[in-house]
Amino acid sequence: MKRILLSLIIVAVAAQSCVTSLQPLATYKTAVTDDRLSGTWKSDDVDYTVQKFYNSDLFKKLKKEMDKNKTDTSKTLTKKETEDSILYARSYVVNYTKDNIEYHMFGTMVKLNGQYFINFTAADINTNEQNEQAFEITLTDRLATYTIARVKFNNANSLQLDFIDGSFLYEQVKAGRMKIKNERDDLYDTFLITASTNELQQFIEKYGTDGRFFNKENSVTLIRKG
Amino acid sequence: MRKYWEINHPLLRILQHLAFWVLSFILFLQLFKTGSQAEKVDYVYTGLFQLSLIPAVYINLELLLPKFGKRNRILVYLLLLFAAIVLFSWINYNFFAAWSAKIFPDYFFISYFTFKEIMAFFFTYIVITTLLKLSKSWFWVSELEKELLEKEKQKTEVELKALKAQINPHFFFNTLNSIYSMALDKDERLPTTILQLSDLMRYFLYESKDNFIPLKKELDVVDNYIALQRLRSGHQLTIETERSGPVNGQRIAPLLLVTFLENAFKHGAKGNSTDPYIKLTIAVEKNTLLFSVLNSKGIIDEINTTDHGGLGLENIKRQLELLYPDKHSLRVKNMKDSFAVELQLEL
Repeated sequence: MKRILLSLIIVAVAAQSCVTSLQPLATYKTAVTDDRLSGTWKSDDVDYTVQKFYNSDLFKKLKKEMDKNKTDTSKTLTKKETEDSILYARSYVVNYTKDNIEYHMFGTMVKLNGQYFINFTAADINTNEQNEQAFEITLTDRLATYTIARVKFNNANSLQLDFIDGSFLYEQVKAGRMKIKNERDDLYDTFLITASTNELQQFIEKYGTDGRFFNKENSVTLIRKG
Repeated sequence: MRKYWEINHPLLRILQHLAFWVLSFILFLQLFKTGSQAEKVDYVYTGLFQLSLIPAVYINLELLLPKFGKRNRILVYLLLLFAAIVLFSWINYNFFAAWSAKIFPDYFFISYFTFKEIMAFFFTYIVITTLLKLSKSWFWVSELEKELLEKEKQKTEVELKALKAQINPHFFFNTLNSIYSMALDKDERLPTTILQLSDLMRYFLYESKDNFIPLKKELDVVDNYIALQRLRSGHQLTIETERSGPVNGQRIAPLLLVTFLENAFKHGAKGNSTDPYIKLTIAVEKNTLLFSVLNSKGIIDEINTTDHGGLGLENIKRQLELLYPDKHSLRVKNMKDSFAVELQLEL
């Protein structure tokens, strides 16, 4: 039941005609931070809290669980763990609640061709329902996918996220006009970009200012609350 | 020249180049396609990628290689080639990474290769096409060499025929002069002389047409010729012959030895030399023939330095150059009282 519900949630999040990529746009080497991003934002009566990962509530919760299970404190980090910790240090956690479901998303920014881009991936989802058996899913077993948006700081109190128009990309791929690695299912009209991070970055560098890649319907303007 | 013309016909050249690029396009398309089947954008991308290779390849083949691809300019060639590779790789990289968005706004692609990888593509293509060009040139040179050798052979045969045609009348002219003298003197040996001349004529006319004949036959003719001359010159002329070594299957150019001998008799037996002589030595050692003839010189020889005697010797030198290149040594010693010829031949 949990699995079915999780699948439905992911589809609901991803089906907003945003592009979904198997690979992230930002890596631990290219990830950047900007203090203007942190804070509480509001859009369409939904509050969004953006926190640096190591300052986030999610990290505190995860750390508490990790400390409980921790046995060996002298263990040195592997190369992968070091790279991940650098990436986390440069990542944000976005929390928001919609229809009594709490969403926690990882967001990592990268600067390409003078513009900020951010890739989001689901970090944690849980319900606030008290009368049902509460469930909490850490999403560690699933294959992570990323949605990509351009970040524009309009001013100190306004932030705009322009999500890449997945339907435009899908149309171009179907018409044989776009050369990007992908997996698509024409029967269910689903489409996933499988290009490498490097290729994604090159695409964004080249077409990051092309208006066709961004649709107004996929743009979200956030107003700072605090 | 037919084959050279065939290979270099402009239409054939264009077809060869077209075939190469079409094959290259097909290979690239298989390498570059995104999915299992090539899409429209794959064709466009492959075509454009190949288009950037073409000028680099032809600048190398048509300009750099012919102009600088020589041993003494190889460093300049390599430097210019490297510069061309860097330049066209840079154009390729930037075209796909940036410029194509303006030129082909409805097709979306990037440079899927790093600058170094693109340079490797260019380098590989330039090496392949250079090797193809060199192998083709080598094939032409080889064909031309063959044709040249054939022409040289034909020329040599024509020249040899001409030389033989010069030698025979020369010989017969001298012998007939001798026979004429014998007839005037009513010499009783005349019939035998005519018979021996007849044998020699048979040899000259029918058996000396080949470039090489058995050595034994040539030595028989030498004997016959000496006998003929001995009859003519009588006891005044001392003739010494010495022969050694086995003769079995070696071959020699016909009339070679006879011509030297003829010269010796002509000069040694003539004039008012008090004690004319001819010393002939023939030694055969495996495939080496040592031939030497020494003759006394008459006073006539001192006077007639431009007589026909020189023609035979010059002819024989030319024959030796044509038939025994680097396989003979000829020493001619023109001394005060004698004339010597020493010939060494690799048979």
